[in-house]
Amino acid sequence: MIQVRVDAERCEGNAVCLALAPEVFELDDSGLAYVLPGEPATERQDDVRRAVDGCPREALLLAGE
Amino acid sequence: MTVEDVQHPLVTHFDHHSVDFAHTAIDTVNTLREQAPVAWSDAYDGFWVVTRHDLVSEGFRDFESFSSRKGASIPALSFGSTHIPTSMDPPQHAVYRRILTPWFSQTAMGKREPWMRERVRELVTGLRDRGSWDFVPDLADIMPGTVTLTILGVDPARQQEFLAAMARGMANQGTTDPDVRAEMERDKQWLVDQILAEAADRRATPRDDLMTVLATEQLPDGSKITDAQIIDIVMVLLLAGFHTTSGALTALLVHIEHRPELRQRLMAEPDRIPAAIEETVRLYAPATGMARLVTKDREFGGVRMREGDMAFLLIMAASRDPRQFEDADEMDLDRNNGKSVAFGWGVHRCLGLHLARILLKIQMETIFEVVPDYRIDLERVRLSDTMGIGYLHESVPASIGGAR
Repeated sequence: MIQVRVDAERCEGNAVCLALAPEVFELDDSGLAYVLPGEPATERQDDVRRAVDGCPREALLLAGE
Repeated sequence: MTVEDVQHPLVTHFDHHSVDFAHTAIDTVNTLREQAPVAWSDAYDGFWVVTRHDLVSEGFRDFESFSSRKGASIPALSFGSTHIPTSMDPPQHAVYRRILTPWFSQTAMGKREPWMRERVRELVTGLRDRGSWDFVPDLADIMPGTVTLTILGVDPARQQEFLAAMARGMANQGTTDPDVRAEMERDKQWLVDQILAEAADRRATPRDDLMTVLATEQLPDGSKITDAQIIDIVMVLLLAGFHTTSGALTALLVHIEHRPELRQRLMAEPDRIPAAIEETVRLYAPATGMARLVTKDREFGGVRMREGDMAFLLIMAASRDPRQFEDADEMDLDRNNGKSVAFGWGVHRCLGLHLARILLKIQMETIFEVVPDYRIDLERVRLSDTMGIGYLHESVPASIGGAR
């Protein structure tokens, strides 16, 4: 089981995570990313890893591996 | 024939660089999308044209099936060989992207905002003093290159030379005239020489600029960025930012000139300008589309693609897809553009999007403030004859109060 979270200090809403893992991430009204409820990261581990690697701001943090 | 028949795709002569396309771009992409979500064009060496929003998004997202390693252009670019990181896939792409991102982030752009505002005000004040001008060469084409060159650390006194060489290269892209081609080749060599001289200068005397980082940065594997790679990075930074942001500014200016009530609203409610900018880049794609290399045989959007095929993800068509955007051809300041592919989608999403948003906002606010009674001469507005790179205007003449 893995968990992912968005570092709100770093995120600037480039939406790369939303593209790579649409079941896991969404953008809020201010255009910043957040993790959808229900621990979706565990079921979408490959997508999440692509999103973590792809984030140009390195704003996604993985935990619980 | 039906579009679902994977054996017999719709075959077109779609050529995004042709003059015919330039004169009918929006109609052409809207028609093509409704004929087939993926069609085959026999232009150049043949390529798939992907038009529906969900498929364009999916193509950008799935970098394993749709690779960037043959570049993002059809036909392949002659000006600069392998653009970095445009022509790279993960994980290599991220190495270079992360060197560039801090220099184009929202935070970095915010720090440069007062300076950008000052420069734009100087330019627009100059337009007001002249009384009549052309928004394309006199404002839109100047600022994006100026900002990029300043981020790189190019001496302001030398920026005009760079901008002129780039403008000539862009204006003559489709030419077959041998004399013009020879001049373009000289311009390109001149740019390469300048870039290498700047890099050498920064190795000797490092400064706080992006050129210093490119010239001295150590990559994760311990190596340095080579001179050839520095050229490939700087060329794409200069070219990608040049006409795109310029095209968006003039598209918005012309759009609201046709709709005085919208212009009045934006002047009265400048906090709505960012929404108008997002809608402008959706409606008038500053980047027409991006090419990808198909890496494995697969069915996609009702056709059978083969490994080695090229696919052109037609942003201009996706952005007006009524399946994704209600009243897709209308500018709606209340629209949610969270899924817009106007700046691309996935790992290659536009590096300069914060630069573009801030610069466009500053330019619109300053125009409204300094020359509130400007009039665009709509009869003399000319669209570009080449829309293969982006939706561009050739000329947008304007004056104070409509006097010539």
